[in-house]
Amino acid sequence: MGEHGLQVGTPDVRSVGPITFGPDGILFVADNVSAMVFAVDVADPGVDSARSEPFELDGVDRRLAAFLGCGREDVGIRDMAVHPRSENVYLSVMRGRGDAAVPVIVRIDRGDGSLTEVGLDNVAFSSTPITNAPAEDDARVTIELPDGDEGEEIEVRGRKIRIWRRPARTATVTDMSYVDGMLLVAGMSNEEFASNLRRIPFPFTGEMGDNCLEIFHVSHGKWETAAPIKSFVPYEKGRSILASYTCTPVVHFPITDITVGTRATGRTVADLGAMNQPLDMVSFSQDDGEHLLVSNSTHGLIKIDCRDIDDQPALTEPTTPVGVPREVEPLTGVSRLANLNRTHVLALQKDDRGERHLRSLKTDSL
Amino acid sequence: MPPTLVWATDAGVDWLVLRGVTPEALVRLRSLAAEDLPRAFPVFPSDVLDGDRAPAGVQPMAGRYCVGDADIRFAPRFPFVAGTAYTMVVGAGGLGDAEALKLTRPPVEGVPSTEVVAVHPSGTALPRNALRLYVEFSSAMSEGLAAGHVHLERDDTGESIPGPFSQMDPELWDPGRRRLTVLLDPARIKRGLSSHREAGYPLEQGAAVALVVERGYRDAGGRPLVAGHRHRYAVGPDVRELVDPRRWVLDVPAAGGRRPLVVGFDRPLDRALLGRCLSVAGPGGEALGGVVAVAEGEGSWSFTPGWPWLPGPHHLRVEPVLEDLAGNSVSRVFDRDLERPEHEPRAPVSVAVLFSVGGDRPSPDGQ
Repeated sequence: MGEHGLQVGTPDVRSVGPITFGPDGILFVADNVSAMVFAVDVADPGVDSARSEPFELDGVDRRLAAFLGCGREDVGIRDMAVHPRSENVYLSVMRGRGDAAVPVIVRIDRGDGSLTEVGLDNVAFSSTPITNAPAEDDARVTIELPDGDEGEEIEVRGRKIRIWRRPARTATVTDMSYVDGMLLVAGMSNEEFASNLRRIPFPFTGEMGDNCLEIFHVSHGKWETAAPIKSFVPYEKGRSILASYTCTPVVHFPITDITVGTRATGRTVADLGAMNQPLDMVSFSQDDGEHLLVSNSTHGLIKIDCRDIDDQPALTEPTTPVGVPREVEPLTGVSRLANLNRTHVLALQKDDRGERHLRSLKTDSL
Repeated sequence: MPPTLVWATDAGVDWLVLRGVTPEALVRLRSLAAEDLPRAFPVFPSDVLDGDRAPAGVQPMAGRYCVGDADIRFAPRFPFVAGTAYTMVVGAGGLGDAEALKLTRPPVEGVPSTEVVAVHPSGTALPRNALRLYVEFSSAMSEGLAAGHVHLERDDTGESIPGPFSQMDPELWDPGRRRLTVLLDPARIKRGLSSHREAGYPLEQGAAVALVVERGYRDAGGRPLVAGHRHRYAVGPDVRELVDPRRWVLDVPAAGGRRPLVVGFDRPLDRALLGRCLSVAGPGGEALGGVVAVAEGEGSWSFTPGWPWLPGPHHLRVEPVLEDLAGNSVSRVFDRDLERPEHEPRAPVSVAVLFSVGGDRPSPDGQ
């Protein structure tokens, strides 16, 4: 057993979704097909960096398609993370579709822009399940009488009947973040509509435990929902969370004060507009303190001062703009965000022709 | 013979083979270092090229080269994709005039065999605030294509309804990739949010809609569906109240037989959750084994025990996450009105409905 509980082997990664860095350059990789999170030592070859320069790379889809040997439509970028020391950029990519789909972690060298595959054979890794998936013999597993010859034949008191057991429920990780010995995992169920934020201690113990938090939020003081979290960012050194929901409000809640099994209600601090989905969030520092940057499906980047979140009472009346003060940056088409270094935030931005590029946003100028 | 490309398969490895290289050139190439071959004979998916030219600064395909007695072979790190064209830029390393040779992988073979086997809710009506639909396929499907191949249209005009669904990124599938979960946009359903105020519900009461799955949707093998699928729904009023098992009607069988217990609901419930949220416990409190079935329209559920019913008290156990079509569950209303005491959430614990097997009449009793 190595440091952080990692052991050398070949993780059975069947798909790649959200990724985020933990301690000592360990990359957490969510695998939504096998319902696992892997912690992988990516053995980043870069040197420690204290750079303050930007990093730009044009035509990311085209570069990935060329490197992975497929059409651009077969490149599915799932998430982006930046190695905290080398500033190399990591992308989780599903290459191809269906039976031919291959999960790949691609490293982009921040020096020369070259692409390499992060090998997953014989690496130091550990893993944890992200859901208490029902066991095969759980009576609550879906059991049906199939029309055809699917399923299995069982004998009940001398009679043979054919049944179809289908553990059909899955937990899909929508975002992850690591804070001080704890991996926070937000997810969605493909069945019930529920808020689901897990706190998983790292190093992984293998035990899921009862660590799932249900966070309610209230819309305009009148209607309360427990909805899945789409994206979130810890700030104030991990004491607070700002989360965006599938139903779009932006909600604040303290993470350190919430006890499992108790009813927790977050404070809705903003509604970022109709027909708009917040996509990703990062926190960054300026001279006057900590700020959050939010990318959106419809709007440009939105910047929020963390002090305003603290000062923002829970929304009670629909007004425009709704909630916490924010600045809208004239940058559209940004999906993924990650901190590149102390002075820049890295953005994956789509242009008018549908091409995606890596762009560095100078935090002083935001 | 001019240089030409052909496909070859050797020991399970697919190769792109360049023929027509002179013996003298092959001798020279064998002396090259391994990293020089990708520079001399880079391979690209053709659609990333600028015409016939390798794009500046773009790395070619990852893979390995083999210089044979009569040809040069390239095996990609990731398999060639059916139907995709590939280009080898011959002579890119200064071995003469660069020439782009192109060859397309054979398309996916076989006739379509996958079809839509069910859409849930399977009934003919939805509440205006319906939250979730399921599409079941006969075989595993490809991911990432749902947004382009599943849509909602007005039943009368066939006009597509704009933006009815929550973003399908990530898509929600069962482990076998045979059942797709489609969420109607909760931001348009949940009261008070700007999407709800400005865009309104995705559905309109009284205006029938159809869920359409297009034939071009690809299964996991890359083949289209046998046929498209269309499921019509009338749209009724909102449903905003807790799922209350005390309102259900139980048809309780007699002891000694294996006739099913049939539970009739006061409104249709979520098909997927019905599969795992109801169970039956016998007189000793033990969970009974058996087979469940959900009626068309999801208005009732039945349980056929694996062995004959014993006389005595039984429990129908109801998990608190069981939802109706609008996302209201046993424990909470989807968007709870804080001013309505009847919307007060219940403890998220399972509920037991007591019934007695024997000569007695059934007496549902929530607790």
